[in-house]
Amino acid sequence: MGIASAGHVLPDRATVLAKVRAAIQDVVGDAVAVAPADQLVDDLGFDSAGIASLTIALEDQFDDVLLLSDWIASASSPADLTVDSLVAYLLGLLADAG
Amino acid sequence: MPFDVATRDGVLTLTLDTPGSAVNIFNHATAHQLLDVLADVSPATTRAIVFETAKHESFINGVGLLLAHASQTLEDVERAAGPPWAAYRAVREALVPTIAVVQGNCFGCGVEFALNCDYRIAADTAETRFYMTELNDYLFVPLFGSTWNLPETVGLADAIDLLLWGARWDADTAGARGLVDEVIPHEALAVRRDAFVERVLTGTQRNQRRGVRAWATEDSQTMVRARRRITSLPEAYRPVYTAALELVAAGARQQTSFLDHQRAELRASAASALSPLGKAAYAFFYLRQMASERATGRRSGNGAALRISADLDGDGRARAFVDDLRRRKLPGVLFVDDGPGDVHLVSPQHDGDGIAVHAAVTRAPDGDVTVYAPGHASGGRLVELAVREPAVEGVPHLARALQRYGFEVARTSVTDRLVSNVLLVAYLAPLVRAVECGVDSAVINGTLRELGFVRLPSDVVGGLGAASVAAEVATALGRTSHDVETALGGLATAGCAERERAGAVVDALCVSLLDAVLHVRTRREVRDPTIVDLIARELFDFPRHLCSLSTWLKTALVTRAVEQDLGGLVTDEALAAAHAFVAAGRELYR
Repeated sequence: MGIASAGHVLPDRATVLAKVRAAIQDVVGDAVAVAPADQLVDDLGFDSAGIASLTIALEDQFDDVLLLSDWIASASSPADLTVDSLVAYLLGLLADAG
Repeated sequence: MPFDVATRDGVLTLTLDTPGSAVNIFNHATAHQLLDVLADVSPATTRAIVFETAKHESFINGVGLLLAHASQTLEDVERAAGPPWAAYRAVREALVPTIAVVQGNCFGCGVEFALNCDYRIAADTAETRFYMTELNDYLFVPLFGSTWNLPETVGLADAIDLLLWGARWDADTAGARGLVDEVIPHEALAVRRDAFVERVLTGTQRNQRRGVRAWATEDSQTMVRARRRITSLPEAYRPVYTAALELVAAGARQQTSFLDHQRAELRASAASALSPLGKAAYAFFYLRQMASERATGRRSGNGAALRISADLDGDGRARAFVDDLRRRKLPGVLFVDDGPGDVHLVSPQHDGDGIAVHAAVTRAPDGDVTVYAPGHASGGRLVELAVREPAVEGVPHLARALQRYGFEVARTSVTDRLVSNVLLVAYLAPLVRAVECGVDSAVINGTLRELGFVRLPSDVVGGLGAASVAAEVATALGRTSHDVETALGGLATAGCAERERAGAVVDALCVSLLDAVLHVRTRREVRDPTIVDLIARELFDFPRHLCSLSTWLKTALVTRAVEQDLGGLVTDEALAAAHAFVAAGRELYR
C-alpha cells in the first residue's frame, strides 16, 4: 500500500500527525515528547543527517518512498521546520498522490 | 553541551562531541558554547587552546546544511551563518595560540575551522580526510574564509585543487602540502600531541603556513589553467566556479581586509546556495545519507573490532583492493593472516568487471556477499555491496567499515548481476547506438556536457577499464566487443561540440536509464531509489544540479521523451516500460 492508500482514502491530519510523531521518536527516542509546534532543529535536535533518518522512518510509516528536501528548501529559516509544517507538507503529498 | 571543556597546566582543551550525531556538526549550539568559552579566555590564565574530537571518525563534517538549505534570501543566509561566523572569528582572534588536532573527517567548514587555528596536527588514520564539499558536492561557494585562508596556507594551486576540483587529501598529503603542521601516527597521538603543544608553548614550533606572497608568474599560469578548465564545465556551472576562483585569487593577493573579503565570500555563497542549481544539488545530501543508512542500519555505530582475513589467490585486482584496505589505517579493523576473521574475503568465482571480491561474513557461506569496487584502481569511491538475502548479521558491520575507509557503499540484493553494471550499460548503450546511427560523437559529448555531466563517457570508461566495459555493453546490445570499443573510442577522441545538440540522445538516456531503474526495483535488487541515485552519481557522475537520477526521471520528462522519435536508440521494451511509467503517473519519489 502506498502513501495514498488503496481506494484513495486519504488519512486525516490526526493520522498523519501520529505517524510523524512515531517516526520522530524512532529517530530521537521514545522518551522525547513531540508537540505539533516543536521545531525539528532547535526543539528536537535534528541536523541534516537526522533529516535523512527521519525520511527513512517516515517511509517505514507510510510504506512509500518520499523526500523532504522540497519541504526544507521552501522554508525561510530552520525555525519554520516544525512538526506541524511537516504534517501539512505530507498531507499535500498525500493529496497529490491520491 | 557540544564541547567538553578541560584545563590542565594552562592548556584549555575543547573536545567536540556533537550530541545525538554520529559525526561532529558545527551547529549553532556549538558556536554559542565556543563563543561563551572564548569570551572568558585570558592570557593570564590560559596559555593555549587545543581543539579535539571525541569521535575518532569525525573532526568536523559540516556546519549543518539545513542552515543554508532552509534559506530564501541573503538575510536568511546571514542569519544562519552568523553564529558560526562569529565563533570562527573568535578562534582566529584568540589571544593565545590555538591548535586543531584533526582526527577523522575534516570536511568543508571543518577545514575552514582548522584554518582559523594557528596550528594544525593530524592523526594518520583512514578516516582523517580533508575535503571541501561546498562546490564539489553542492555547487555553492564556501563561506567561512577558506578562499582567503587556503591560498595563504597551501598556495594558490593547491587551494584551487581543493576548492574547485574536489581534491581529497589524506593526512600524509595534508602534511606534505602544508595544510597541517605535523602528521602523527594514531597510536602515538596523545604523546606526540602533548609534545607539539609543549613546543608551541616554548616558541619552538615552526608554523607551516606560507603567508602572503607576491603574485608570481606561476600564479598567473595557474589562473589561466583554472579558467580554461572552467570553460570545459557545463555552462550552467561556470558562473559559480568562476566566482569561487576569483575569490581564491583575491584571497591569495590579500589586497582587501579579511572582513571585506569575508563579506564578498558570503554574498557569493548566498547567491550560489539560493540558486535553483544550488538548491537542487543540496538535496542530494539527504539521498546520500539515506543510501548510507540503508547500507548500515541507523544505529550501527562502529561496533566491535572487525577482523578481516583474505584468500585471494590469483586475482590481482581483488588483491590490490584488499592491499589498499590494509595500507589505510583504520582503528578497529585488523587483518589476520591465519585463521578465520569476522569477514573472509575470497577470490571471485567468475571474472567479473571492475574489482569484485566475495565476502563471507560471520557464519555465512562463501559468496553470500559481493564487494564490488568498479573504478577502484583510478580512485573511484563506489562499492556495491551485493548481499544475498536474508542478510547475515555482520553485513552492516562490513558496510560501516567500508564507509569508514571512505567508500560510498551502495547495498543491493544480489541476484545474477550487479546493479552498477546494469546502470552503466543503461547509460552507455544509447550512446553507442547513437554513434552507430550516425550521430556525431562530438555532438553527443556536447549534449552530455550541456546536460551537466562533468566527466564524459570516455572519462568514465577509462576509469573502469575500456575492455571490460565494452564487453558488458556488447553483451547487452548483442554486438561484438570490438564494435562497442570502436564506438566508445570514437567518443573518446571526438572532443566536445559547443553549440550543436542532439536532443534525442537525452531522451534516449532518459528512457534507457528509467528502464534500468524500474527493472532493478521490480526485481527487488535495490531497496529504494536512493541506491541507484548513489550509484549513478559515483559511477558515471550523474549531474549535481539535477539532484539525482531518480528525481530527474519525472513523469513529465519521460512523457516528453517518449513522444520523440527515438528509433534505433533504445529498445522497444524500454520504450514500453516508459509508456507504462507515464500511464501509471507515479513518480519514483513522492
